[in-house]
Amino acid sequence: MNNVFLNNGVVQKTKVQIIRNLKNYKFPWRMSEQEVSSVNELVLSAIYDGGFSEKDLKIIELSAVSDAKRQMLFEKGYFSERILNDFRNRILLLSQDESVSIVLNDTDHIKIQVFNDGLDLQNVYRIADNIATIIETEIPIAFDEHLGFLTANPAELGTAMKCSVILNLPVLEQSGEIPSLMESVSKIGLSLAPYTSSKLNNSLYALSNTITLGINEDNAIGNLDAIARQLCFYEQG
Amino acid sequence: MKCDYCKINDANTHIKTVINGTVSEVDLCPECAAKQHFPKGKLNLSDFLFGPFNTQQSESDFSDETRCNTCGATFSDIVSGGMVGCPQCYNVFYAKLAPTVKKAHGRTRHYGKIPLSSAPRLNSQTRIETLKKRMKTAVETENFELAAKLRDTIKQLEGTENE
Repeated sequence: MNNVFLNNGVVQKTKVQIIRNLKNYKFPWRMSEQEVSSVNELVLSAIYDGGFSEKDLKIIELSAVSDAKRQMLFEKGYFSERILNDFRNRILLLSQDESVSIVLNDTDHIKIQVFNDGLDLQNVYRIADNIATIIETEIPIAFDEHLGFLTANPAELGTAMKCSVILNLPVLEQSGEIPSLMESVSKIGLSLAPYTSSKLNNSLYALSNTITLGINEDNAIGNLDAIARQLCFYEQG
Repeated sequence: MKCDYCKINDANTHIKTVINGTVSEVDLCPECAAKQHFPKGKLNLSDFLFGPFNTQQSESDFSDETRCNTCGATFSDIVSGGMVGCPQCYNVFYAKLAPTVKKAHGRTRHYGKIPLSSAPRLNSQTRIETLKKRMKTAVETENFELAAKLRDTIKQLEGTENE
């Protein structure tokens, strides 16, 4: 895959999220504080025994940071509003450059997120999948032959992988093309939606995959990559 | 325009539903809309999947008090929480969750990565398919030693399947 589009001004960012849950535990919204702690311990030892050091991924206890810092981490998209409001015993692991994050016991037990600038789906996926594989070899993961990786939200079953590409589309927005593009991409299992975490630039859109069951990781990434490139062409005329 | 339910407040929500060709329309105020379970603010996919228009869920799904013996959730708990209680719930409530899964993805069969720890438990056909894919990747990356090992395993599995 060539990287012509890596930093062309249209594609701002690539994000890959992989969810994993432990086999013998309830999903976090039904867990006791004690169960939350034991999931924390299991996952932390899997990650650090699997070859990561605390220097690679720093532990941030969300109850130990200031409200402002927690708000900032939330706005950067590392965890959901659920955790912002109930942060007891919740842990975020963050790489030094803040491109790799793992949040424990948010909606699911483990949410791995990797960001990079520009369009870089394959590489970003490889980094996220490497972490997932390390965890999978260390602890029993909730998996079903038919439904794939089991998640708290049925909309994320299967690969439990969501990829997003953040695009800056001022030209398409001005020409009123966005609604029809939204409709077209939805027919092929993708979504194009305003990227809400940005307050400054309102021409930012996130192109993401919505279907995770019945499609493998490579195909999901390939589709998203192809459509992102196409949108770049449209945007640049 | 007044709300069709309370007839007091001004309506700001218009809901038109077409179910099997039957059209019904109501105008609601924010309070009545909330009472009818139309969530205010940001909707997420699980709101749609478990929302009030999910006609594939019948009354009996909710009156049935079957509990998951791992997490204690009933199907009503799952619908009101908008999330499944634990991995085991997918077994316990499979028949009730299947329409929701189908609606979200259009499919009900996983086709993708399999965690190593689960691989031996899968039926041999699925394993053979996975191994063949891995063998192809091994050949492409010129890892012929691994490819040969995988080829032997596939042969062995195919042998046991034909017996």
